[in-house]
Parts: sequence; structure tokens; C-alpha cells
Amino acid sequence: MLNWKKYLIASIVVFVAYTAAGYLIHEVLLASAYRQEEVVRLLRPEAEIWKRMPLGYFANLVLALVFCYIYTRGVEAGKHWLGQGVRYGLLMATLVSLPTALLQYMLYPLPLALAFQWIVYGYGQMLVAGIVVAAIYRLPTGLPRP
Amino acid sequence: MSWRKFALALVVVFVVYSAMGFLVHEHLLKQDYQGIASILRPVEQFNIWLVMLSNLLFALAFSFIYAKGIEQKPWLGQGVRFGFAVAMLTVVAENLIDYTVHPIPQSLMWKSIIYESLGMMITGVAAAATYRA
Repeated sequence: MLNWKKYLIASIVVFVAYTAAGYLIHEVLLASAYRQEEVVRLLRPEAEIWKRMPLGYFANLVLALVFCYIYTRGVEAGKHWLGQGVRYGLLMATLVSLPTALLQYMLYPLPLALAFQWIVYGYGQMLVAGIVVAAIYRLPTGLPRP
Repeated sequence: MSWRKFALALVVVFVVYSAMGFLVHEHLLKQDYQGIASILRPVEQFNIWLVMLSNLLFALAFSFIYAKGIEQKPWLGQGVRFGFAVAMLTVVAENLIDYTVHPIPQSLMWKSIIYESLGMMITGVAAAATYRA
């Protein structure tokens, strides 16, 4: 049985953590990479991007809800939450971040270095999300998984 | 977890997911891509091995996560639901952000979400059928 209260709290916290990490990655760490001429011509003007940003936040919310839901289906009692969170984050990065970065690189003529940075930072972002959901959605030790 | 079934599911998911990608991007969306050709990578730079690597890693994670959550419920429903969940996680999120950042038409975003989500559900059914067998 799904623990709705824990699930919703986990989803909100993952949404905040994932969005904050995304801001750090794209607005701080990769800010100079996005100013390269070969990249700028592939992007909307900055004002247009910010105008559409609610869609980006909605995308992160959907991701957080599903990310946490899948975790609740596979979380195991009797195993340490931190290990489960780390493994889940790495697995999800392999499912989401890595293919997305590679396919973006294939679709748009972006520099390879940027795609690699997306992959590395994407793993970090998912790792944080995995640890957050595992820390919040803990099962009492000794009980079977829901 | 049965590692034999996992290996089989990995191969099946890789093949079905790659076939769906080919159908969606090379046929169903081909005309839409022509409208934004100026911002796309030229065809001669296309690296099929990178796509295969990406699809293989995706299939690895997809098959593993599905195996961890199998329940004593009808396999078809589980496959469709899992495919839908992964579509929400990957297809929907990715296309919304793609539309936010790149100058692509809204119609392309919607078509991509619909076609790719259907493809993901078919991939989920393929994984469920393999684990059931």
C-alpha cells in the first residue's frame, strides 16, 4: 500500500531539489558554454526561454511525481535507504539523463564537450534526487515491501 | 531476479525501442524535421553507433527497473502502465524542455510526445511479455 503522505512530501522535495540542481547546472556551471556562438544559434532568445519556463517547471514536477512513484514500487525493507537511493539515482540517470544528452547531441550540432557535461551533471542531479526520495520514503525494517 | 529473463528482456527492449525510434523519427516526424533543418545536425554527421549505445543503456535500465517492480497482476496492464510511467519521466519531460529551449514549433512537441509515448508503452508491453514468458 502506497504511503500517500510520504510519497507527496518526497515528490515535492525531489521537485525542489531537482529544479535547484538544474538551475545550478544550467544557469551557473554551464552558463559560459551556452554563450558559445555555435550553441546560441540553436537556442531561443533568453527572454523567450524565460517566458516558457513554466513549462520547464511543469516538466520537472511530472518527473518528480513519476520518479518518486517508481521508487515506492521497488523500495525494499531491510536494506539501507542510502544504498537504495544511490543505486536508484544512478539507474534513473542511465534511463533518463544519459540517453537524453546523447540524443540531444545527435539531433542538434552541439559541442561534444557540452553533451559530456550534461551526462556528468545529470548523474549528479539524479543521484541527489535518489538520495532525497530514499531518505523520505523509508520503510520500517522487517516489513515486506508494499 | 532471473538473469536469463533479464538478458532476454534487455535484447527485446533494445530492439523494440530502437525500432520505435526509427519509425517515429525517420518516418512519422520526418516532414516536421525538414521545417527545422537549419538547427539540426546535418545527416552526414549522424552517428548510428552513438544512437545504438544510447538505446542499449536505456534498455539496460528499463529492463532492470521493470524487473524490480513486477507484481502478481496481469502482465499486459503492468507493461502498459510501466511504459506510460517511463514516457512521463522521459518523453514528456524531455520534449517540454526541448520546446522551452529550442526554437521548434509547438506542433512538433505534441507529435513527439504522442508518438514517443505510444512507442514507450509498446516497449513496456514487450518487456512485460518477455518477463512473463
